[in-house]
Amino acid sequence: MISCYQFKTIISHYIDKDISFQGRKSFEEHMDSCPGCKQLYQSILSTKNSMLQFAEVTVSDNFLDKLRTKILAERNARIEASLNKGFSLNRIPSFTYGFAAALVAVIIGFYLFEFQTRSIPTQMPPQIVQEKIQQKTGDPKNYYNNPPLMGRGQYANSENYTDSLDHSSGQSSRPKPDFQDNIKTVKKEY
Amino acid sequence: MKDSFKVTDEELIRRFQAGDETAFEEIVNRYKNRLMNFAYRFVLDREEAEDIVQDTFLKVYQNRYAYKEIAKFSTWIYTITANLAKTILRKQRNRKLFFFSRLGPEDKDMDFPSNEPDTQSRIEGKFDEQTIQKAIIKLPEHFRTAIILRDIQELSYEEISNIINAPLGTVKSRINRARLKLQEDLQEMWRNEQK
Repeated sequence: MISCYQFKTIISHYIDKDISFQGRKSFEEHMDSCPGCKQLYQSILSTKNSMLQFAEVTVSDNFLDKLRTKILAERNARIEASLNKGFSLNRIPSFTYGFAAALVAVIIGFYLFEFQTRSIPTQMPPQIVQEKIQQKTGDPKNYYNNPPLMGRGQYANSENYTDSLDHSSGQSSRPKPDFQDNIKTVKKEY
Repeated sequence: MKDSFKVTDEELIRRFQAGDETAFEEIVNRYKNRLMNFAYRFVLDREEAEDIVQDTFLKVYQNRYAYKEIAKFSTWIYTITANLAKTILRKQRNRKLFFFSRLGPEDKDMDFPSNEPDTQSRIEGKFDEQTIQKAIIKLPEHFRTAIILRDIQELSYEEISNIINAPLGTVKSRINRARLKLQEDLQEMWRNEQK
């Protein structure tokens, strides 16, 4: 059998029929043997039933009109506020800031990348390559002014240069072996 | 709560979200008295209760797109009303504190005159509406919300759980304790009247 304390903890479960068969049986057994708990149960049940019969409170007759006026007033106030405010940072949606930051990052990234790619040709080749090229060309001072492999400008007017597409000269289109060696050496080192 | 409507509340709010203003009017007609009852039992002031209901519908109108069909519409609208009612109640409490602090000790006895039902019915636990309402208003806020939603509005435990945002077990135990406390308060009120 359950105690008075247990009885009180399940009293609402019994009233709302939210109790197991065993629980219901124990509850009823206790109620039969304890007049105090029985009275408490009856009082709660009676109050609950009285609350169900409370008079219905209804809204006033002009409720809908008042609501319509309130909605219109609120809407007008909003429009007026937005017109009076002019430009304000608060009115910019928050995602715009993120978008702007991303755009700035992309632009900066693009310029950095461009700057790096442009600066690559001006970089010095490694020391060992320089020495080898100097050994082949024999003129260390004019290396950067007239690099043998940076373009074919210096060879365009030289005696050694032969363009593979220049068939009008009637000479062989193959470059000389010395020039090919230079290219291979530098390629390997890189 | 028995609904004999063909169109569900969720369908109505969907229509309203799509721009149908008549759907909003239908929602107002369905809920105005239910919410009025709830708000009135909560604050015990007709004008303030009506203001709460007006503000509830205004919020529904303004925040119609905030409603997502993961919860029942009735739960959503009751949650708005309950929150507004709690705000009003806090304001009332502050106002009362200010008012009482300006009164002399002889002015502070503010008991309402009550129609005396016979003693036998009181012993049997039968109290009139006014007495029960006075006892409800004295309950702590969380007990009051639970008991009004369950015993006056007849909502299910699940709905109450969603409205007050508490687990089902908490709701059940809260309703049980609220009923016991209400009964205790009613008996105490009766004993005080006898003295």
